[in-house]
Amino acid sequence: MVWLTWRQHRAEALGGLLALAAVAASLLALGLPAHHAFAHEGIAACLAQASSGPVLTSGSCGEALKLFSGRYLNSGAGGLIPWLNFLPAAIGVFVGAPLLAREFEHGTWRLAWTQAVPRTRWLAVKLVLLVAGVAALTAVTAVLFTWYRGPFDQIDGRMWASAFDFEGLTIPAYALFAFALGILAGILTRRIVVSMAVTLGGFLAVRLPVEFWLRPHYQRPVTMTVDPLSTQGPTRVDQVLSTNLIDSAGHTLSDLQTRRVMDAALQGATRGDVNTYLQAHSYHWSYVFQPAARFWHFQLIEAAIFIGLAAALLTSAVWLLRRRVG
Amino acid sequence: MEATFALETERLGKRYGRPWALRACTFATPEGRVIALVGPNGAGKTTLLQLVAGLLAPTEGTVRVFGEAARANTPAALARVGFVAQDHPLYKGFTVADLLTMGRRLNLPGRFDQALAERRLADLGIPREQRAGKLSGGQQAQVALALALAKRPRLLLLDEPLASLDPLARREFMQALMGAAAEDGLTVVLSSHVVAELERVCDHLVLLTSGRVRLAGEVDELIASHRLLTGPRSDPAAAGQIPGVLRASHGDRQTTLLVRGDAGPERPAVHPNWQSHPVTLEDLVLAYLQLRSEAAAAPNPPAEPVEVVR
Repeated sequence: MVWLTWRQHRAEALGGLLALAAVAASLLALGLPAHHAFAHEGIAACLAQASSGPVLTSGSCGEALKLFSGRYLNSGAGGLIPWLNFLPAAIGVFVGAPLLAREFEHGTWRLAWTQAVPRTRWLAVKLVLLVAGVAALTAVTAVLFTWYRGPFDQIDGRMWASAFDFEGLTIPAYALFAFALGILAGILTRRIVVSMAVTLGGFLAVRLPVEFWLRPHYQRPVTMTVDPLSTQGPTRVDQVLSTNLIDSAGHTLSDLQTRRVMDAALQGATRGDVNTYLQAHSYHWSYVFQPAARFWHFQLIEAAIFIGLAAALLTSAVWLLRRRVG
Repeated sequence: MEATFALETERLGKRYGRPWALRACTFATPEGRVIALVGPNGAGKTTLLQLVAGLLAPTEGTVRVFGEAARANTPAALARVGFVAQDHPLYKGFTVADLLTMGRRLNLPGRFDQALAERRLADLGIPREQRAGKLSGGQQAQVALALALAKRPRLLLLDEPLASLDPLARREFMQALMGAAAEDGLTVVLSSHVVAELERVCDHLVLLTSGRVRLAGEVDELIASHRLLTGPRSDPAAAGQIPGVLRASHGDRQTTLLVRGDAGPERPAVHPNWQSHPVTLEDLVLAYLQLRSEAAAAPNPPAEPVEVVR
């Protein structure tokens, strides 16, 4: 069985390694200059100096950070990063979906399951080996990405989707889910192209709502109201969801009101120190944010969702194969 | 009597959704025979073979292979049965050598006779390093047969093995199959919708129409127990009254009756000019097939005759 699995999936294994090599090359090409600049162009020093406070806009450090992010994160080759989102989907579509659909479409299931290996064992061996392969491939991708993101994680943290979706456990969890979805789609549709389409659609139908609707609720965000001159409040690596001004009566100011206050503050403030003005007028800042320290908590929840779904899908596939083939 | 049959079904049924593909299927075939499973397209032949091979689970009833339930969840049960599926599927990207390696690795250690398969294919001039997809249809069928035979099964099932082959490939395939069957005392089940293909090689017949067994038994006994009577044209209504008549055809001048022999071989003639002839297997199969279609067409179908001779 191990031999057969390798013989049938070696092309996919090779494709996976090539994809990994391409991802690794891109991340190295993007990451090496960024790491160099981070260490040698004073970025790390800037961050150490301004260790707290959510906003770093003023002064030469602010300028340097903006330049750094613009050059290495947001522009040019850095725009390739979102394409990594397609890696798990591709694994589901090109490795998971055809695994059984191809046997049905080509009729070879009747050859495969009339040898002396019971078909549940046939499937179990394949699943174990391929799940291990998928997990290894995506884990390496996550490690590479985490290295690449290192400098940027220190600037704006890793709670935002642009980091959260690729670091830690998420990429392997998404990939296993997509793979399992492909397996089940293959056994249900018995057609290669149909199962591929179902897998892609199903993957997006789960992956996107989880990110946009479910993830913000894994844990209630922290709400913190602080004096304008206080050093308390979220740091730049926390995921700040909203920042509002609160007046002395405890009312939250609307956007328009906030802008008026800020205009007045800029004009009336001594030496342009807005926060001094705000304090003088009894305003407070209210922050709503997800602390960066929750990263692993969130990662575990998200991974548990997708790996749990994957396990349920694979169990159903094995059950269907035992029971209802034909 | 505690005889072990190669293949034994009891009230076997399989349903896909609502319609039954196979229903109330009961028959038994002795070991060492070549069994023809005959029936029109859609009669349930493939379903029956897949049930025997353990590829499908029955909806009701049982299948026994050498006395044990046909279950595909043990290696030992799978090892007893060889299966050449319709259109003899192979992994098209595998070379012939890859397929043989697969056979060796997916079968019980020491049981798969790779050398035999290699010799067989070498004799046929099929190159080891050729990809299966590049072989001719006849060669693919031979590779599929070699794989199934190398398992050294006790029961070999072949689903419409000749359907996609040209006449020369058919002859070569049957030669290879019959040679192997004779050597090992193998029990072989061949399905076909054309009985003429199997008439010369089979010694047992199972006739299936619309998911039911219509006729089952040793070919010799089936032929001995039926007669063809010809005589002057007679009234169809009167001919229909004669007991044991399966089929009557009325030409301009004569009437031909196919009758069951157990009604008496020297039956009382309707007319002294009646003559009795032996039937061929094809006559018999056609008669039973026609019976079925007439019964299906009639508003009140008569009790369905099932002839089982063991």
